[in-house]
Amino acid sequence: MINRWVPQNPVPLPGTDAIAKRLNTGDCNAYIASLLAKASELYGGAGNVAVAKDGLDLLSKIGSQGFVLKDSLQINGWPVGGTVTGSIAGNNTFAAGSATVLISTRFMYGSRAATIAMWQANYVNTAIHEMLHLAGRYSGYDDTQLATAASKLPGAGAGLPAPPKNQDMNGIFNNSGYYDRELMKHCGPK
Amino acid sequence: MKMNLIQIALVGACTVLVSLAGFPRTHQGSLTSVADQWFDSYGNLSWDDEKAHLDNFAIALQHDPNLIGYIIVYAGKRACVGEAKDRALRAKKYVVETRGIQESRLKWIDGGHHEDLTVILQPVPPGAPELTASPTIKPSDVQIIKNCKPKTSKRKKGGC
Repeated sequence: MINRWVPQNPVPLPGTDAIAKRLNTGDCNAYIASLLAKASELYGGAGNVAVAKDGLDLLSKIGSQGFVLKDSLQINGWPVGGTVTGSIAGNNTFAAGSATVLISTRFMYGSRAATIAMWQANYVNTAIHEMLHLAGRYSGYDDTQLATAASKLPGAGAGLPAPPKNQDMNGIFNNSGYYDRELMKHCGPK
Repeated sequence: MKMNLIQIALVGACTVLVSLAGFPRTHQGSLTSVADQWFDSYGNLSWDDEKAHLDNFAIALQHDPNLIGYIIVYAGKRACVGEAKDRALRAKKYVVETRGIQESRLKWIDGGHHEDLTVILQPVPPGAPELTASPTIKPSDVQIIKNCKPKTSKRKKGGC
């Protein structure tokens, strides 16, 4: 039975209160504070210091307009779950206050409430992951930098991938995956 | 000694020049590298929830017929024999048989092991390099669970 022609329904993005609620759960906000401090220590040498002290501070600086769903979100032809654009404090490309987290719209067949809830929790995972990329004052923190910073925190898992060469997407994704696994140990759905 | 001082001076001068040249780019630029994440990844979900992820994956592949869909599965640190392969084949079967994606557009990889079971779904553009796995647990550190039942699409719960 092939259901490919059934209408595909986009799952709506929850409000930023859902992100704040997750940040306030367990040690999530404290973990992000440690991660930002470590990233700032490692990669803040040229002024690229962290512009927020923790996740809630970062969320307030991005603001409720800074989270956007985008259909068929791609980077260089690669479909991705999320990415960022703009800048919190401004740089030579973007104005201050333009920081935006882009999240790939999830579609579903039907309207099962449990599936909507699952995808909305997934949106929050993506939002928190992506927010931290915007925390570096000028050039943000990329996946490799956040993976490296996460690997240096207490309790970090083994298997930090090698840094990607040039724009090798496989290497970028593997670093992103490591960073995400560490982040979700503290900030995943409970 | 004299030579050493000259070398030190040269290194110092080069460091200053590199710093000055690199400063504007780092200081004012946008993100230094692409910041993004896998199209989708998840852990040990119920089959109903996993189907929702696979549906979304299939929709992405339907929207762009040039994309190749990769299914990468890492078994957990505690795992059944062949669990990653079973999971990958079950996912592929669902996407092909239920959502009508051509089998030739799907590839699966047994990624080895992570701390927890992890499934990655990634559509890849034509001409891109092959994706490769990045296991984090050595095979010698994996605990094999005995008496596992095979994964089939009729089972409702995750686990072995």
